[in-house]
Amino acid sequence: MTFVAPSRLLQAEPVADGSFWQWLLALGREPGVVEFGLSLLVLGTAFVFWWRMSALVRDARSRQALADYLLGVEQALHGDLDGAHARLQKVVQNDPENHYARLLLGKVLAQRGEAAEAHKQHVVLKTAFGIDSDENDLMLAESLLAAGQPREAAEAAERALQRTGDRADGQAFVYRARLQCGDFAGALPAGRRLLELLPDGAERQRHRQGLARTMALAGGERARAGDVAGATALLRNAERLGANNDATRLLAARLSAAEQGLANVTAALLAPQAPVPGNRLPIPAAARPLPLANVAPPQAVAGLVPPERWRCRACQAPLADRLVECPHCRAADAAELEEPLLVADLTSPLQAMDAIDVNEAHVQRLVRAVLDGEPADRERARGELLDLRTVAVPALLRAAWHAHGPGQDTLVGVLRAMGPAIAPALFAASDDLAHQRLLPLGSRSPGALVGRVVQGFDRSALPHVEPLFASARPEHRKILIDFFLGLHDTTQFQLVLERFPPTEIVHRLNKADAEVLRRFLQVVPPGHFIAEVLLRESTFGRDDVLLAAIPGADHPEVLRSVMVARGASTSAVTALIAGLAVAEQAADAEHILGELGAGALEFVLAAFADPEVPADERQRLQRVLVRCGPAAVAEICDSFGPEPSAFDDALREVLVGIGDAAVPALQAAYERSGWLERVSIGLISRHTNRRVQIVLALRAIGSAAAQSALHELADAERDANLRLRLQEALHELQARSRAPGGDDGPR
Amino acid sequence: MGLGDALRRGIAAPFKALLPKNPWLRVLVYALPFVLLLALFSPALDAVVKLVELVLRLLEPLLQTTLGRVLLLLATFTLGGMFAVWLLRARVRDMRAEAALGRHLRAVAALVGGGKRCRELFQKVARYRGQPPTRYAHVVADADLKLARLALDAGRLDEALGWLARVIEPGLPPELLRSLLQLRVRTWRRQGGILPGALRSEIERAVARFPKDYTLLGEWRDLVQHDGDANAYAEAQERVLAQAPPAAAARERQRWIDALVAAGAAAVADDDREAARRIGKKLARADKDGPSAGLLLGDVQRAAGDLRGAVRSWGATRSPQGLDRIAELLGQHPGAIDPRELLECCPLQGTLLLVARELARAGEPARAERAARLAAEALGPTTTVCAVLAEVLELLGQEGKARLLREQAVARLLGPALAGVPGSGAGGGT
Repeated sequence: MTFVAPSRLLQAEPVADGSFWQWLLALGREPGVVEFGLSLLVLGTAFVFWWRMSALVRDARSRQALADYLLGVEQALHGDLDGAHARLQKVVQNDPENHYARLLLGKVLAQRGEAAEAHKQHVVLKTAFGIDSDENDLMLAESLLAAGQPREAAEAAERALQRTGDRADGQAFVYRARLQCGDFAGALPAGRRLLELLPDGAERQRHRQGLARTMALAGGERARAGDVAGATALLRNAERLGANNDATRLLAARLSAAEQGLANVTAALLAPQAPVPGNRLPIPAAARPLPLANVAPPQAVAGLVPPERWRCRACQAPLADRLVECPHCRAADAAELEEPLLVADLTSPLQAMDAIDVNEAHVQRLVRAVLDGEPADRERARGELLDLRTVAVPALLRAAWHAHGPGQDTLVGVLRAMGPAIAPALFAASDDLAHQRLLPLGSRSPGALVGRVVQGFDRSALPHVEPLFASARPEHRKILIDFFLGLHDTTQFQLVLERFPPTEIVHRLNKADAEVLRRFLQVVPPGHFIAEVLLRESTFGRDDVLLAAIPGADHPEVLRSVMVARGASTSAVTALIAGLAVAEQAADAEHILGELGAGALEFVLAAFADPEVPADERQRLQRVLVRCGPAAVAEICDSFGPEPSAFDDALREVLVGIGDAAVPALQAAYERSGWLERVSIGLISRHTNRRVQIVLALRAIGSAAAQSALHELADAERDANLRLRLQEALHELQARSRAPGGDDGPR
Repeated sequence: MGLGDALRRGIAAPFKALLPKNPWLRVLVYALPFVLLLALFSPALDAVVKLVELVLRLLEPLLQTTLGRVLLLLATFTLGGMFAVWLLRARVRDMRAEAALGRHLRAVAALVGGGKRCRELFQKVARYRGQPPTRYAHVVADADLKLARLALDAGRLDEALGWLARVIEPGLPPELLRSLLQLRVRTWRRQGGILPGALRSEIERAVARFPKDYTLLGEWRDLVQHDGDANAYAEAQERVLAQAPPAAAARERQRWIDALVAAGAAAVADDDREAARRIGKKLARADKDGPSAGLLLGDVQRAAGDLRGAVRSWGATRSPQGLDRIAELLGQHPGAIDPRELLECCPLQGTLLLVARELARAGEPARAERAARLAAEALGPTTTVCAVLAEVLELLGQEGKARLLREQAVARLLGPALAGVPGSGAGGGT
């Protein structure tokens, strides 16, 4: 036996015309080559075997708490979460490098509802140990979802699935997480991939229908964003999946409406058994009945809304009941009512039933709402009261009778707005109220209120009012007068003049609403009995309304003459002075005050003395005083105070305005002693502010008469100071007259 | 110890140190002097020489050919290997056990980590028939269980049963025994191959052994549910809920409520009001914020002929189901309750619809119309409102208004999606 040397083996060349295999065959024929190769093979195999065994043994020996680990895994698998948790915790503590134990611990923690702890374990694996595992990433995403962060969970899971996209559980997770965020478009890729991965069966069929609904909802979002083409494409895809759900039908109907107009599609849907043009999904002919109605819903909406009462807040899927977990997206406590208002609390069932019965309590509530409610409630209550009309009249009248001020005006306004048709009910209610009064004294009768109401009616109420002429009841007489006042027609008012004594009429005039009376007075013609007699009665006390009626009156001169004729009574002058402050009435008031002359002087002067009177009003008062002439001088001079003041200047202006006519009166006033001088018998100086102001007024008038008066006064004056003042005034007047262009006229 | 003993030990100590530990080698060392002694005797030595020559003559032809040399080489390796294994058999046994454990760990890692080779690895472990590893003696049973679980999850029920059948039950730790019982029960139930009585006894035995096992209780619950005894099913579900992990608690609670509702309905149907009331109390505990207890109470009252009480109980639930039942009652007993009382019993906005329909049926058009208007103002043109009010308006002879209401409902449904779509013609509002 001869063994070939290794060096020779290496030197063996392949034959020139042969291939590699021939060379190999030749090499194998060399003695010892095969044996050598076999030896190497056997030894190599033995080494590999040994090496692999060693690796397994090394792995096994490197694990600490091995039994705990393996039993913990089994406990986790069979659902003994507490046992698994305890064991795996121990394993992780003793063998922190056991990543699988940590991963499983994370799963166990998640199942125990400790999402935050589970998340911590997965984060440790990913960041501290740098484990880049799909499983860990998916568990990380699940813990995020359990912690209520569906969007972050979906993104984490999508990142994990980029490496291995063929995991059905991963795709299902992403689909659910996206649905939980309400991101229907985002859920579609995962949903489609999941459909491909799921094996045929009930679950796949369920997912198919769910995916079709998600597509329809995503299409609805596209449609709302204005992308009709995108919505249509999604609808087609949903149809391809064999969708037959409300969401798909609704999207189809909405897109039809977008294409053909809402009115057309609505009409088509409402037409019995008529297919909607362009809508390939037929509306089911026999809709499921709505339990509450126990009748079929309108055909038009039958297939467009789910019959379920609940839906998932996250994924909008219909739910059979208030489920604690949505079976579609697994969102917890996401059930919400489809029509929540159905079970919303009724604020007050009593009030609701009262509103249905329209009983007295309801009307009273409406009346209260009109008086005290919020603006919206007030308007609603007013509208309802106007609808109720005669039913609401007694309550309204009673409330108005008890109310005061603006509240009463509001209620009277409501009654007036109801129109003349309520007149009989109004009178009946008034009679009832009057009967209910135990002590008529001390409270206003309801007739007055009714009168106010009927004043707002027009002639169409005449047929309802005329029967009251036959009544002897004082209430009805008042109502009649008020009604005719409200008509603003002196011809119709003739009926009243013929049937009622003037005193009674004047009494109603005094009680009438200012606005009603004003409008009535504005139509009074010249020479009418009203102007000639009634308005001139001293018992008539509505001078303010009389003055206010002049600007818009058909015959203003009639009213002016009435006011002048009524004289300077306190009420008249007060009204006139007040009228000076009103732009529309100021001219008339000034004119009439001027006509009244000295009678109104004291009042005018008192008003003029008021420091708070505005400038234009003061001007008017000044003009009235000037117009009073010499008669006003004595009063004005008595109005000078003991000490000089700004008001003295204003008074002097009035005196200057009167001019020469005021000179004799001024001179007389100068010579007249005041009451203090008379009492003190010369002990008090004559040098008073009153005389100084008179001197200044005369100097300001500056006419020849004024100079003459100053001379006379200076000659007669014994008081040195006053004489000095008089001489100063004279000196100034002489200097003024000597000056070039000097004017002798009053200043 | 005498001096003689000490001397003897001192002399023997170097030899003892040099002697091999292996007893066979030790025997060989002991035998060597005797073999040398025998070699001095020619016949014995000749016999040995002859024997060697015989062996060489046998090997000679083999050494001449490549095949022979290969065979010799293989025989040498085999014998050498066997001898080595025989010599190191304790170490080899340990190493095999540790290797099986290592393979099992890898399989578990693949299972936990979502790897795909776990089934193959578990199968290798399951084939292991050597000495069990000291650190985890149940490695094979564990692998069998995991293989059974994988097969069950994949729907291969016969295979799962096969793996389960290989598990030796006596001596299993409780953790593995629990898995075994769980898997066996689940597999039998899904396979449906054994008689119901045997399955029941199997499940009951398992539940008796592990009374707090959520999965076993769930299987038992399903079995009870299949029997059709609603009350027993509800009780079984209550036990399941008590052991449910937090992640599944909500689902199980919902199932318990459903079971109680079904049990309540069955009790009402059987006219067993006492039982129904008991179930109602449980429902009140189970569904504190829900309407089911009130609904059941109303059902009981209705069964007892107390229609007003029933309406009151249903109304107090403030739920759509309560409204539905009141509607059904009024449909069957028109005028059973005055509208005012109805509103007081069930103070919900939806009740206005019922009041409107009651009044319309009673021939009170004005009141019915006002109620309908109130309802429409409060609720808006939703589907239910549209349906009920259309009926009311038709009863009142106002078909035109009914049609208008339907149009509003349709426009409301179609309108919102069209906002922003050019040319849709939808203004948005209804």
